[in-house]
Amino acid sequence: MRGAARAASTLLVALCLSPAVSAQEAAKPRIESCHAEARGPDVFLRFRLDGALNPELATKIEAGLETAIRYDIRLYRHNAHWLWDDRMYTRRYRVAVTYDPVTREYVVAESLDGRPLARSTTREFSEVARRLVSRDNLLVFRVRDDDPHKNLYLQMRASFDSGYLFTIIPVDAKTSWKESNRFEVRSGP
Amino acid sequence: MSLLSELQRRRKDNRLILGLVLAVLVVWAAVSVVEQRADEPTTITRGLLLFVLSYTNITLIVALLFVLGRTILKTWVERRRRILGSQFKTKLLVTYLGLTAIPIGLLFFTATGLLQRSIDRWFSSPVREVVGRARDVQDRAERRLIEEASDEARNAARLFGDEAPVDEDLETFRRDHRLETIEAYRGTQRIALAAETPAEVGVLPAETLRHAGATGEDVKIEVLRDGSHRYRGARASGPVIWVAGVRIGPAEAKSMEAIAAAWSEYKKLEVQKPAIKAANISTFLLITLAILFASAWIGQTLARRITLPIAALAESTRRLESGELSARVDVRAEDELGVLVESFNRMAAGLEDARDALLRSNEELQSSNLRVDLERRLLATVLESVTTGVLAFDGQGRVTVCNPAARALLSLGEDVRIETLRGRPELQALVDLLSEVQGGRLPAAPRELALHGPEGERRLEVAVRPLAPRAAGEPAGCVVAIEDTTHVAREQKLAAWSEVARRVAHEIKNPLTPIRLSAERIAKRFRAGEADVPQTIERGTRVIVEEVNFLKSLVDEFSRFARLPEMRPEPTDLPALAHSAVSLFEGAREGVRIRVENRLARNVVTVDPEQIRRALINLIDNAIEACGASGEILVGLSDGPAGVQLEVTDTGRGVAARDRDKLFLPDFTTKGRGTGLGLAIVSRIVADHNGTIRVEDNRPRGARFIIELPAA
Repeated sequence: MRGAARAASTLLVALCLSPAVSAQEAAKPRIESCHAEARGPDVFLRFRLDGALNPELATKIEAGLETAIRYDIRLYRHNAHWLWDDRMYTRRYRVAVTYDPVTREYVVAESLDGRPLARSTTREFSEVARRLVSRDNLLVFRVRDDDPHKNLYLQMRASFDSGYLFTIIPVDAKTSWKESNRFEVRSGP
Repeated sequence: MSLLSELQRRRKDNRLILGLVLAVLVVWAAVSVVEQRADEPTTITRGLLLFVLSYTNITLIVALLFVLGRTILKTWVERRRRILGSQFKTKLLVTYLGLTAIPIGLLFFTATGLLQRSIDRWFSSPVREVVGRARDVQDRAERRLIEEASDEARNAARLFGDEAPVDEDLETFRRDHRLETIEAYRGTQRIALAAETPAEVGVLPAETLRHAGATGEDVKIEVLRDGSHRYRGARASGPVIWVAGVRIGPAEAKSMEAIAAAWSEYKKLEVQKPAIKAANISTFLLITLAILFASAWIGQTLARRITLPIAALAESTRRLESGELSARVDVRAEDELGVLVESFNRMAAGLEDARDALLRSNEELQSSNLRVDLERRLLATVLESVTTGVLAFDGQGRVTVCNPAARALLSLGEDVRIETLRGRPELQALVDLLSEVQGGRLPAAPRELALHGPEGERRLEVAVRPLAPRAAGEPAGCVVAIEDTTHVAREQKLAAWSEVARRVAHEIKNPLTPIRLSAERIAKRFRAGEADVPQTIERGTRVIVEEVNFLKSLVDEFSRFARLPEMRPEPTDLPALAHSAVSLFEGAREGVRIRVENRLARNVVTVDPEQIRRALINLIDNAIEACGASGEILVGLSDGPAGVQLEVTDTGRGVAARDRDKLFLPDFTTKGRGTGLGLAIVSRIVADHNGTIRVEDNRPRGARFIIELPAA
């Protein structure tokens, strides 16, 4: 009897917790889409991040603090007959937003591996939000002739400030790795 | 390995482990910072300061937990093992940590609470309201300016449409509407401009123009070089975008900037509030942990410094108690503990030295005992196996050794005492000898005992030697050696008589030949009837009588030797006896002078006067014979080492070395016609007196016969 009661109570607790867990799982930031496309030796990326723009982040942006989301992008070649795939290149794409309270404009700065890529201003927060979590036609890699050209794919994840562990240790939130479609690079003219 | 080196090794191990942990944490922190924050701006929320604080805190927490955990575990193990000093160490550590942790903990919580309240107060409602309202005022002011600019842009669009106006008309419009600028764009290209200072008016950004074209209107706020603000409102009119600019002065712009900056800073701080709290709490926590860590470390070190010497002392004491005297306290200690440790080590060293000396002494004693035992067993074996009887007496006259040979020779039982010997008259000579030695006199020459038993007479030679006393003044014991000389005497007697018989036969045979020849000559002449028969008879009978006389003298001499009378010792004036013997030879030979030299301290000595006189006569007779025609003979009397000494010295031909061993045998003579019994008789007389006789060379020539007689 006692064993049955214990099992029942465990099940009840699990049932009660499951919606919360699901909601938390749903609210967790994740890379929703990640699509790679090769144009000649160049690899372009299109992605979208969901669940990252929470009110805290928005408040931080509105306060004028620089707020950035970092994307780690890796180029792999798939090995069908081996335990793991070959990692060929790694890039870090970063989008940072700074709000100027005097001009009331958001400055969006993009960089790739620390090198400035683009800089723009806007007065629309929706535009800022869009630029922070999505990107089209981002040239991330250029495959060399001596690199593998087939069975390639990308992996990416996003990381951004999330909070503090034990109220004193700053920690970053990271999404899980998202894998893109397989693609093939055609070199030459 | 000593205790000190073991402790040092453990301490080094601990330092190594701690160093490794710290290094790993520092590397981990550095890698994290470099990897994640390399391209991030340094702000208070995510700055290096907070990271350093955080990782330092983590490091300290880990180190503190390690130290505390290790200390607690070690203390627990020590208490479980009942290691001496563990309880004291635990109490000391707990007290120290408690005294440190409680106030520092209270201080930490109080300080963090106060700090949090202070931070919360920064963001209190009045401040927020003031900042918010100021921002609202600024917003409304800016909105009016923007609306004004936008309205003027719309008015220009209405007035001029989508055609580019004449510059004068545009300038007129600008002045009439008191605008700073009025512009017209087609796409991103400016097609008209009227401004107070046209050179200072830049082209609107393409994004603003595109946005205005897309949405119908847009705004651009610009901060100019002189600090003034320009608000440019854009309004699309067909393909043309009209932009009107309104400018506010530097003072007003500065106020608006200040409001914006204050609002921004406030918002930033509000956003950073958790981070500020975290940074401050981290700082306090860092200090608290550092103090706790230091206190735990110091407490442990202090406890170790106190308990280690005590534990080492206890351990060394236990080892000392178990007999390990080489135990030392190998722990460095200071103050009174150092004095105690030093004193203990000195005491242990003293004990060890004493023990070593004792062991050495014991080893020497054991070795000596073994040697003595070996010698004793050897002596016992010798005493058991020798045919010489050995008796030993201690200073009190108690018999300490009596070997089987002595018991057999003296017919003694198992219980041998001096009274046993005294109770037997036949052993009186032995008892007298013992009394002489025990009386302190020098040992006399060996004496002979004659014991009569069922097996007949047995002759024993007894020699006594004193033992060295154990201490000066103590009575000395003595050792008695008893030799059975019965068979020796018998064999000597047989040999002597055999020699005597041979000698007698030889001596008798010599005169018989002339007797036989004389008798045969008389008989021959008588048978032949020759005329000289009477002469022959007379001559023959004379020869026969002479030879018979010689034979008679020979027989008399042997008779005397054989019939030496029983010794009758009596007090005798020895110098008078010597003069009496010398007087017999006065005038015997003209060239030989005989004199007596007396150096005796006491003239009267107990000897058999007749026999001693006879011995002196024999010696003087031999000396006269040896001197030949001339010479000098000295009869000397003196006190010797064992009694009296009689010397007969001559200046004659001396005695060859090869003859000295045979000199006192009955058959030996160096004379042409002698019996060879003279010196044998002398030797026997001296032996009967328990004395000795020897012969030496006289310087420069001659021989010297020395007789030593015991003084009695």
